[in-house]
Amino acid sequence: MKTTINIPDLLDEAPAPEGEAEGAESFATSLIKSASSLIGFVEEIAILTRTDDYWVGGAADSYTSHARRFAREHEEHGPTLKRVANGVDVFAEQLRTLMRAHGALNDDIAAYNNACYELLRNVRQADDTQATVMRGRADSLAARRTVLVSETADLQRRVTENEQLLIELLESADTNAEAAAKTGGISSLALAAIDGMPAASEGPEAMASWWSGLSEAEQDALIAAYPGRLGSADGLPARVRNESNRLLLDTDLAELGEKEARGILAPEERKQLENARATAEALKLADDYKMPGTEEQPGGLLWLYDPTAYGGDGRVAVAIGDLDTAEDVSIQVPGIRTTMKDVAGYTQQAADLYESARFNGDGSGVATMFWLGYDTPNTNPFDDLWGTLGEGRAKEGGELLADAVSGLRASRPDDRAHLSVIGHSYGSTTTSYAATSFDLQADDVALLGSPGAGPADHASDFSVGADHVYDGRNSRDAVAFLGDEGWARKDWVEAGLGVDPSSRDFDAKRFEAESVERGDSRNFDDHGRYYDRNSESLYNLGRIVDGQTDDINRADHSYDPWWRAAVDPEKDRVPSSGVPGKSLTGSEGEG
Amino acid sequence: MTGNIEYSSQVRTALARNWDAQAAELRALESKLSSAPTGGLPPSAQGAARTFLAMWQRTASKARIASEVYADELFETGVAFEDLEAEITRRLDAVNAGL
Repeated sequence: MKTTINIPDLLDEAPAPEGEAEGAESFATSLIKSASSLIGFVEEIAILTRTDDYWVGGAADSYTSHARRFAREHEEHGPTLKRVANGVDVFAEQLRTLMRAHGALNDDIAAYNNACYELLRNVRQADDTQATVMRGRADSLAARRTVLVSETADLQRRVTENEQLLIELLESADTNAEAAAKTGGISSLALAAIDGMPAASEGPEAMASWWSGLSEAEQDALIAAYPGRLGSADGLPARVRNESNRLLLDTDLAELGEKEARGILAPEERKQLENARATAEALKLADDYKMPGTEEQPGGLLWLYDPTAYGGDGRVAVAIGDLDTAEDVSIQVPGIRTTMKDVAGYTQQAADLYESARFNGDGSGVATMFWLGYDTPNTNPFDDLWGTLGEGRAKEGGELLADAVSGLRASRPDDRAHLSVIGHSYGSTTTSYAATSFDLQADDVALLGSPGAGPADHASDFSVGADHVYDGRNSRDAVAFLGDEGWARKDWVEAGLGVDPSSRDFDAKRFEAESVERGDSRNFDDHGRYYDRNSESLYNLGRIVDGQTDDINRADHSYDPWWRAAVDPEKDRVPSSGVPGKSLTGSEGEG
Repeated sequence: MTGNIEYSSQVRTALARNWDAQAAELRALESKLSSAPTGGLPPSAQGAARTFLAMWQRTASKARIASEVYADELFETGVAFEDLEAEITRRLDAVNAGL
């Protein structure tokens, strides 16, 4: 008897996307530099039209009138060229993504073809008793083929859309009228889609919903055209914010760098450029970070970038790991006198926290983010903690922090992460405000070196519930001593920022946070040791971030007997460093 | 002509020179645009890129020429003001000498 097995046809490789991402980025860089030249040109003309100090009269009037019109005609040229450059950058990034998808698809096609050959060999050697099995394998391969054909067509569609977006961008700014228009360099896709963008006041859920309803081509077009609006929009995926903010950063570096080279950088622009450079340094650290002793390279994200905010102090957030997919996400909130220029050092702390969470973790994906999203007080702690610091910035920052966390939540509506917020120093007071007054949507909160928990008198005042409030206090930390302990209310002498969260009265879960380098008495150096690698504090923070909160090393609360000064039971305990299960936070000897 | 007339040699020495400097920047921009590397773009976008760059080079070129015209005209204006000043001074000196 003759048995027929229909083995499906082999598949050709999927055609590769054309073009080269790095080359396209070079083109974008060249356009950004050209845009910077045009922007600088218009700024210079504006100066050259002001002649009142040395030339007055009809001829002067005629000149200034003409020159001003000339400047106006060129005003939009630089911004238009900049938008096209951004679009080319987005094209390049998407091309990179498509190249990766193409590689993976061709691997699948090769595996499918091999499976067909193998089936053919097996069929030739099989007898009739194996016919059913062989048919089953052939049917399975036919189904697989259908999927691969569909994926090939889908990839081709995405490649075509990406190329069309690029062509449309170039064509949207290739006439004089388009170059001079406020919409020059914006694709029709973006112009149509931006109208649907909800206002921030409609909430991050509305933002997330709007974004998820757009096509990939519309999303790319919007990122290219409106990076400033998307980079800080709560509710958008972190990937989108990151891509938008990187465009803004690259533009600042190119534009302001060009001005610096020409000697025409204004003082406020100098600050902006310094912030941009600090961010670039932090981002490089995040992008290049490889967890010590492993091949794990989680990558960096620029979640927030605004180098001109707060009079040049800036707003910035840099993450290690993927905020869109990680099971465990943490946000680190800094304290007084932190500005954007400090971002690289804090990003290293985020990396060390990432390491601790992964090294001692349960294998879940982790992302840790340093968030400077509020205006930290600029006061000198040595001068002002005893008087003028106040809680105003903590309250404002608490609301912004709660909004940021709500944005992260909304960006992952069907994939809720375990989310921890860690506030250090004045940032702990800010975090307390977020959790007490603004319904912080975190799972766990940790306060470090806290000068006081702001409006909260007890851990149960926090939105996360008393069982999810943790506190780390080094017994020598001079700042952490400022909170109220027991009957000793430091607000009586206008010091401190509320109840000490390490105290028995507050009743948070205090964890061990002593340092082997601690001083003999209270000092400010110990205030900065909570993120030290292989420290008790970083070990426990890693456990909290990873969601292993039952396995932290608890410490007894401080307390305040009425007959004597406040007592910290941690004062006489011998600290450890690098001890497994206690203070080992990564591969020893590295990092 | 109404109102006052004030003139300083800065029109010729600074203003005209600054326009010249702008013209030089724009000449550099023209060169930057003409050498913009389009090799990484896909073949389907090469034509659009050429048209785009050609237009922007023309834009830079026109702006450069306009800047040169401003520089020349302001320089000549300065010279004319100074010549007029010198001529009037000469004539008044002559009148004074004849009195």
